[in-house]
Amino acid sequence: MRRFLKKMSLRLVIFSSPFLLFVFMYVYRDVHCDFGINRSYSVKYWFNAFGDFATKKLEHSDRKDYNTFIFGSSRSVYNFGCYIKERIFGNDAGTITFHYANWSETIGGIHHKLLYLRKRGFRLKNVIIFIDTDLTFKGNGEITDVDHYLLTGKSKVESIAMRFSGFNRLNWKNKIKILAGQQPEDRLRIPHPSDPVSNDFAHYCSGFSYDDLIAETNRKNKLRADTDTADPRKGGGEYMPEAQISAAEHSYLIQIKEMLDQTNYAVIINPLYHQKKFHPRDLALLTGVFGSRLLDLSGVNDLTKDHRLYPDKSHFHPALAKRLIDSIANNGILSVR
Amino acid sequence: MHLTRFCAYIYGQRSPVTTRFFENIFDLTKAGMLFNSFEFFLFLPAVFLLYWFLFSKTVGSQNILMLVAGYFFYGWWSYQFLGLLILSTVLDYLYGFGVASPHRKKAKLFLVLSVINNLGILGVFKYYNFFAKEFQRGFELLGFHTNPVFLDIILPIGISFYTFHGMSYVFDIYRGKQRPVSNYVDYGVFVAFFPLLVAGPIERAGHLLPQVQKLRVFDYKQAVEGCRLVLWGLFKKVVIADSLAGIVDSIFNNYEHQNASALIVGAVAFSFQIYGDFSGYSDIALGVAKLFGFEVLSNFRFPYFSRDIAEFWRRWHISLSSWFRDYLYIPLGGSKQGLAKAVRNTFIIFLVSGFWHGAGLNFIAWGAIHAIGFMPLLLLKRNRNHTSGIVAHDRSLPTGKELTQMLGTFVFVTVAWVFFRADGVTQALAYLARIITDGIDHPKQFLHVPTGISALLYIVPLVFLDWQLRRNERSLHFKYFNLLAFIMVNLILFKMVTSKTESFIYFQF
Repeated sequence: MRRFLKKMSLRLVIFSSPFLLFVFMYVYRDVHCDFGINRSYSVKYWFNAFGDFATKKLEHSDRKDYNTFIFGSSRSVYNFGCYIKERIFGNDAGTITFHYANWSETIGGIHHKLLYLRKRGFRLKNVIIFIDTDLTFKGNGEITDVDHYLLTGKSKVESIAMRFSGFNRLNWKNKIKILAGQQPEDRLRIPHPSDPVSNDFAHYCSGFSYDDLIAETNRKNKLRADTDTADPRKGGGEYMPEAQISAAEHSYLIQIKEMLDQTNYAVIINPLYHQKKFHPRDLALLTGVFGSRLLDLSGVNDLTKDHRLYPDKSHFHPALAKRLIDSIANNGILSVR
Repeated sequence: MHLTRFCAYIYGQRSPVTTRFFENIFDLTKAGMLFNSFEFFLFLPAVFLLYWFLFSKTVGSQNILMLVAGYFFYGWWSYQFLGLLILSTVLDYLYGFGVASPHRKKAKLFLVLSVINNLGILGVFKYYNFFAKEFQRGFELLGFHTNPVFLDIILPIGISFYTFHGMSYVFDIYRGKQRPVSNYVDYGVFVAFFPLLVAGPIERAGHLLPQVQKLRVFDYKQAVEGCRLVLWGLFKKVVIADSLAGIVDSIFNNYEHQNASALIVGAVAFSFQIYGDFSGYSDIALGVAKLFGFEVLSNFRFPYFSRDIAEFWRRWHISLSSWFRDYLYIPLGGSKQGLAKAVRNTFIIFLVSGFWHGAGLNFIAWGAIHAIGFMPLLLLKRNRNHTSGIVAHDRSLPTGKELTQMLGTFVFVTVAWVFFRADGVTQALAYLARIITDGIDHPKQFLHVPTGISALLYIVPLVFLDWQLRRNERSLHFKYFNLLAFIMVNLILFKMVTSKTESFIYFQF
């Protein structure tokens, strides 16, 4: 028995050694090697598919490259910078947007990103922060290591471990292709070449159309237009059952506000599928910190009334994202600078 | 999902990201604990070590562990349907005592109850909606509108396999070939033996139960052979079948826009996909069983080297074919009661076999095609021409005649597979019709490289390796196995991390 285990373990290690060596080299390169080979490469992939890919892009950008930043969770993937620039900032040529969102972003993640931008000397001309009633204040505001390893200052060993633990089958081939300077597979692209990560808008905004994207998404998702008319949701308009914002998270909110004092900014509470609003205590805390900069689009309203605009009960259909940006623009919470 | 949370906990961080990491890894929980999943790579060594280090002293302790492991394995997919499995097991266990009664009437009553119980479970969960839909359609053709109740239930995985285990047990008792098992744990292991639980091979009580009731002792050679079979099965599933799946899907899903040569490639690729998938699963099952000291029935013996349809069915899904032979064909009279009855019985088992595979007319059509292919052999009494030995057993290459026979059988089987793979009979017929019409209209296409030709990258090595292995049907001993294992391990690992893990086709049956 012991002979069997010893022999099999040894063989498994020897047989899989090329694979293990490849994994090590790949992870090392992914974490530490220069992004330079892709510097001129237009990054147009899901920000949340690559861990801290967005920060890596910024690492190799000049502080003058971007001045308008969009923060939020994966729900903001369709909140395109092109349209934000057009509708909210009056197509101001000096506005260069960077979509700095992240999968399940917490308030700690947003705070760390702002600190990083300040440290790097980026000018925060405009900032839009999209927060979620169900995600932003989870985990006591912890910054999530896997997605933010470049921000948390982990050691090389820890970074590699973190990066390894963030492996995702779906992305492996594409990561390799990107690192080799090649075109990744289409399936990881967002449906439009507009770029939520780096936004080289001079390049892409000219061809951008939300309507095309909406039509394409409807085709792909077979929007449940005719058959699924009954709204299955319950509890719309209610408050979240418990207060979520901890003392640490409150502190992050105050620091964020202080960092944005000289910035044209807005904090938007996302219009989520469940139509629930923040607990009154949390809402009071948020209003207390951000005052008129806070725009609450949650609950039951024109944006959330059509349940079919939530393809997976969490994320937004691009049509809803467009309406969301229109609402922000119509509200006038952000000025054109 | 429970393991996800558990691992997030032991990982030391209960952050959403840590949880998500495990969710990424365990993203297949909805599909059950597949043999090619990360969960199974944790489960198998854990059970193996417990089995041989902590539970190896007595047969009772070994069986308790195997039963718990079987229920855990099944419950991982659905703990609700685990209840159904246990209920089915308990009922057959109890019926077994009644069927063993010396009073034939009483024995027959319990036999009937067992059959009703097992077929009832199958009928409700697998076939009810099919019949309701077909009755509705039939009535509508007659001008009557009906509004039948459809059940909103999913098909419990492995239901066709474990119910057949149960039935074989009571049938064997009724026929005096098996005595009822007094210990529920022993019988429970027979039904819920996790390597066989969800996709077979379908075991016989007379073959597996004696092994369950005997203390297993670790055998080095058997364990090494088990590892080899697991590796070979994983290679066939992960590298061959899953790679072919993409090609097959892209062709079948857009068959209206494909030319004849691409459709031929699609059909051939599916023949090898389903073979790699199911025989791969069976090899893993055999290999895992060996790791625990069990020898289970073979399910595949190089079916695509068959020289006629009769031989094909002695080499493809053997455990099911022999089950139908022993418990349906022979009780119906087999071929001993005249040609007419032999023809009738042959059609019955092929149609039932098709229907067993799926509640759809296309599966019945698939069975019917095989029955039709079998008929000339039966009528000419040539259905037992190739009962012993594999083709070219003592030669390196087949003769011209053998090659022609094998190719003819393969083409026939491949045409039938189109019905199996298509979404319905109409689609299958349209697929085949398009091969003919487009082939006639554009004959020059056959001079060009067809779409999906990359399928050969997977088909050729599989055929080559199968050809090399064909003489030792259950053994993987050959000169360069270590080199092959080295290549296979790396290909499997690369495929597993670079591709979406596909479920096994036979899980749906």
